[in-house]
Amino acid sequence: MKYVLQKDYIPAAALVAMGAAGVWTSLHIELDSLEGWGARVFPIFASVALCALGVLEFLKTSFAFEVNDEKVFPSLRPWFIIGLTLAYIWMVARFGYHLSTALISPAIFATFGIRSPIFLFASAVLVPFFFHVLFFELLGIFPPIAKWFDPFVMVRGY
Amino acid sequence: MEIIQGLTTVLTSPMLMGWILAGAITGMVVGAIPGLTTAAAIAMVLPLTFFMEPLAALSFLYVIGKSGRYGGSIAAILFNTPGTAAAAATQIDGHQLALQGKASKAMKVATISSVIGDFIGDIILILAIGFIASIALRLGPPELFSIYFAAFILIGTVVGKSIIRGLASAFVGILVSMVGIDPISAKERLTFGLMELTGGVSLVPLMIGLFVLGEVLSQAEQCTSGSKNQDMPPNTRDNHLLTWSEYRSCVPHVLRSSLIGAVIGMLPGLGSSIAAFIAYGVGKQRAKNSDQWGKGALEGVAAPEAANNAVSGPSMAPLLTLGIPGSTIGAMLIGVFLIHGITIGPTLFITSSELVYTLFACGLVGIVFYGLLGYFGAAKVGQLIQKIPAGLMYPLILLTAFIAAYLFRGSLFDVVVMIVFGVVGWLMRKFDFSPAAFVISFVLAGGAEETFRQSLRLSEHGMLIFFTRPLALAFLVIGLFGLAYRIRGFFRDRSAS
Repeated sequence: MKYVLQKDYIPAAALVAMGAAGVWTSLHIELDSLEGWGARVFPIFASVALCALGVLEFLKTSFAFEVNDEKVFPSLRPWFIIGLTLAYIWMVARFGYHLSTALISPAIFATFGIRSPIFLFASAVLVPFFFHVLFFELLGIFPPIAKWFDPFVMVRGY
Repeated sequence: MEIIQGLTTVLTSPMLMGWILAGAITGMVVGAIPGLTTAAAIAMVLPLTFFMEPLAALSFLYVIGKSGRYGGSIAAILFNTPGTAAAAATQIDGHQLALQGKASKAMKVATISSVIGDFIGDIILILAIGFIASIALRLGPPELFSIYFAAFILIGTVVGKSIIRGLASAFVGILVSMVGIDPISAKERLTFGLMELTGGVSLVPLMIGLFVLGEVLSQAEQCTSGSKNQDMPPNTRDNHLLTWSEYRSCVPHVLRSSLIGAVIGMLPGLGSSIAAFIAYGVGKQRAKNSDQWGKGALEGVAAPEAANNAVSGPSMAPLLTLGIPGSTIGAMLIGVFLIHGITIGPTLFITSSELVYTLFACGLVGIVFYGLLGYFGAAKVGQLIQKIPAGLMYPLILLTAFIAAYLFRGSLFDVVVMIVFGVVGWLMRKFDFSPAAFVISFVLAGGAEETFRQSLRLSEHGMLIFFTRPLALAFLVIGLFGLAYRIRGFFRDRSAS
């Protein structure tokens, strides 16, 4: 008989794992000056509760009347967006805000289905410009400092 | 009376009036966009308010919350997609009316009902809050901890579809809030050696991640890039106008639902959506034309809208007097108070009474603004939003979320936090956990732990202090009763199905 992994086992496992990790980490919190557990109480309580709720969820799923075998991740698009956001922050830390935004904006619009080359090119120019004016000029926020080089800083001369 | 003084302050300040108007417009537009919650909008603009005066910042965000609750009805009626969870009750009859060519009439009913409900809620708040604050001043750490305990249980069991997942969301929120340095013993907790975490997880990037990026990821999983075009029958002149004889039958429902919303608003964690559905259910039971409900009854729009907006004012009561947010929006307002150096709790009415009543006055003026905008402009807002493709909107929201998270402290680490909790928020929605329970518990946990440990220091008999103080015991019992009631309801529904 083919075994179907129920979608609902995933949160159950996640809760137990999170609770177990929380308990283990909480036990490593230093005791206070009177050797008391003060700082450990709430984290341990929350972690144990998560473990217990995870077990309950597991039991509930095991005895459920209906099998929930719907696909957990029907689309890869959210994962692609997560990848883009991580790449974005990596680029901002190294090349500064403006170049990174110019590169990432067309990619994000394309991910959401916009394919017009003119629009994508315009977004690479207008989006960083708009955010620069609003946040770095009008509100006076200091842009992130680039670790490698920042073309915007090089162009402005400081 | 302080409220009269507050109104005078507001009405004589063009700047404040401007921010209130901006809040009314922003909330209405954001609430009308399906998939973009008012909480998400507040999370995104919250960092911008750091540059504003405290009262202007608070009034702007407070009015966004009020107006956003109303704005959800626009999407519910026009697009059959509620702009807010509470508007799902409005959608039942509202969209049916739109399909009959009566969209404008439905939106006018929604507007008037929201305004009346909101006013009633605010008046109850203004009249009752002084009394509630005076009681709150007499509460000691054991009573306060018991209130927190009851709030955690109620939030975890009532919010969301599943008791287990709701409670789990609350406990995850508690665990995440423990990250950082323990305020009493100064020991590091759950920082994993990262210096950036010694100050704890910041509320603002967490909220932006949970409510904005999480929502964008959820929408990305479902959406197409097209716009939301729907064929609606055109409004005839008769269907555009709303007469008094048509609205008269809605009045009893509006008054009843406003009281339901006000009571529910005072209870932490319950929120607008519960109020709206309870009001709809009660209204349908008591209606003379109950067979029409669900098929396009104007009363079916009026009842949930009145309840939905009546929650807004009273939900500030537990927030301002005890520091316990009654809703996600309330949890965000706590962040604004803290950032501007205002300590909330019972002493707020001693130290900043003028600020509080002026804020209430801003709320009253905000209701007038969104009422007028909604009555004359809701249809136009809906048409405009219909034309915006999702493929244009969500990328802009995503890019704005990045810079909003960075704006908070000028730290890229906050952007990392935003991304992490964006993924958490997406997965929570996917597996029917409750981001609202998570964030409210995150906000409450620090206060709960502090009062718990203070209570143990006061006590000669350890944990028995919570059982020997009558008020503390009463709130513990309320929390456990709420849990038992919900579990009983779950088993009853299960055996019925």
